[in-house]
Amino acid sequence: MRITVFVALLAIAFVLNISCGAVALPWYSILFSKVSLDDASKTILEWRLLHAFASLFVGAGLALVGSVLQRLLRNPLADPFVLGVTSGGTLFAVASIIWGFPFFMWGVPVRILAALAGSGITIVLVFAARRMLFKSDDAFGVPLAGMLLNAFFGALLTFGLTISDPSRLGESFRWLVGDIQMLSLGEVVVVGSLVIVVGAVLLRMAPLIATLAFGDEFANSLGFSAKRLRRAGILLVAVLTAVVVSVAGSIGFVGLVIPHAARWLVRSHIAAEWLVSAILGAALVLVADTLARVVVLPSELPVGIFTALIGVPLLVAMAIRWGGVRGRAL
Amino acid sequence: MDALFSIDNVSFSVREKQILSAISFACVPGEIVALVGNNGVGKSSLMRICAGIWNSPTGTVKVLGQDVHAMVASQRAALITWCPGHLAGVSGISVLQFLSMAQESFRFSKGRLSPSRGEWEACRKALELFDAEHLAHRSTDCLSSGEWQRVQLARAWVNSGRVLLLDEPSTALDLRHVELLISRIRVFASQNRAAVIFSSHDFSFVSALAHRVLVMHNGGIAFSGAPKDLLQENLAQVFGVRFQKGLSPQLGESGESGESGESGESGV
Repeated sequence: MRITVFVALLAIAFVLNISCGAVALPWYSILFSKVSLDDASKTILEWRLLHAFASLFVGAGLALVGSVLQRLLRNPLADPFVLGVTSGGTLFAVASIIWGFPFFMWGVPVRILAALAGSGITIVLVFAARRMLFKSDDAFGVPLAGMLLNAFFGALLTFGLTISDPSRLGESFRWLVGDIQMLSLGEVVVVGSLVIVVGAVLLRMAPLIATLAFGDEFANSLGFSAKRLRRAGILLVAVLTAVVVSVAGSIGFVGLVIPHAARWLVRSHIAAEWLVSAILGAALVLVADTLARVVVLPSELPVGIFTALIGVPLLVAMAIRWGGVRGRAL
Repeated sequence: MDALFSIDNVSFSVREKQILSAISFACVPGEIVALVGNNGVGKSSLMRICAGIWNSPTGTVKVLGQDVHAMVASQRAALITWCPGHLAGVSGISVLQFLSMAQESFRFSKGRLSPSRGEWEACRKALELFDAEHLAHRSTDCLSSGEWQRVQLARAWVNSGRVLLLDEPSTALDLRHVELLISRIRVFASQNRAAVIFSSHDFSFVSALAHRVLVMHNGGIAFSGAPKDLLQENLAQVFGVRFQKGLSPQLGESGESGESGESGESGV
């Protein structure tokens, strides 16, 4: 079974992620050490486990969102980063930082809610722009709409950062580059269950969404309302994107590169393709997160740097190996 | 006999240009009808209206006496199968998955999302009918045009409805498979007591298969009849080439022959 290979890959990435860092916690010592871990190691282990799970869900969510969007919109460029959804979420989150809101206010994670609102609004705007400004089936419509929003939000962000209190720049910076936020156990559980539930629904819907790949008229002739199907898919994708962006800021390339890799690896069934995409996405973010932690010891760099540093050469290598990113009908 | 499928007074325009005007015809169970006509005359548009995908602002389309637009979409899909003329293969979707889509809405209405073993078996059987069982696990974008056409036809056969609409089903097929298609369509029409409507530019295919030919011209049906009853003068007028007996066009004799001066042979 090929899927076991991918799961094994993910498991290795996960264990690697937990063991590496300023303080090494080799997996054999965690599992087999006769002496129980001292308190400091325990705290570090707990912290790393939470962080690793957050990375896993972020990676899986991002890659799955990219895969589903590419199919829904029949566009190989569709991904939350390209569509400007991550920058919308980031804009709102950074705005909450600039205006001096604490992470928690009255027990509410303000920043996460801000990112949720930002990405939700952006995804609505993208589809409104696609419908109003461009012919909806036009391959350039969606990326163009995303480019417009990206440029607009980027300008707003730069404007906000320029006039803001310099002491808050550092915190904003991590959101801009994309980084897995420190989450509590409760938050990891919430994020994780949302990713799993929405992901499972999307995987179950895969055969329906697959009919859209042959065009709306074809789907209609099979007895579906293509419009309603797409709307349901987009709603689910919006929720998933918003959750991921609220945790991780604007992490790029996972949602763009991994779906292409998954499509090259799995060439039979859309649900399988999406599952593999989610698994590989999780593995990529875990690896990037590990690198972010070990490259400049003992500091931790934003993970977004490394998803791009790994993702871009990976995409180029795949394009060379498999003969072009474009050219395959979606 | 009662009409199984009928369209009445169907008109259609795209961007204020009238394509179809007041078309009516009906089919009885088991009847095989050919739509012929020049490029752009509206054959594919008429097919879409028959399939209930496009809505004619004036007319009605009925199957078994029921208006297709009044039906639940999944019920319509179970009765009418539309095989479009230009469908592009999609990377990452295998032939079998494509075939399983035929019953997707039926499954969905029953609350099931993945095909049962019997349904997969039906898909394989349909592939066998079109000599395509070896393609089952290939991606739909990695097929030759003839293979892809056979796979699309097999998809139509998975869903054994009462109305089968085939838009240029023989274009990419080699002669052996055209022959196969003719026998499959005949069996389909008689076994399911179904109406089969197909469009084609291949007149030998049309005259071998169709019970009745509808010749479309200027947005309407200019004339119709059994293939052998069509008048050569009428055909020549519509298609702009001369016809021998029946539906056999005489090609290469338009008078504008090559520079070699052999035009003397193409006498009256």
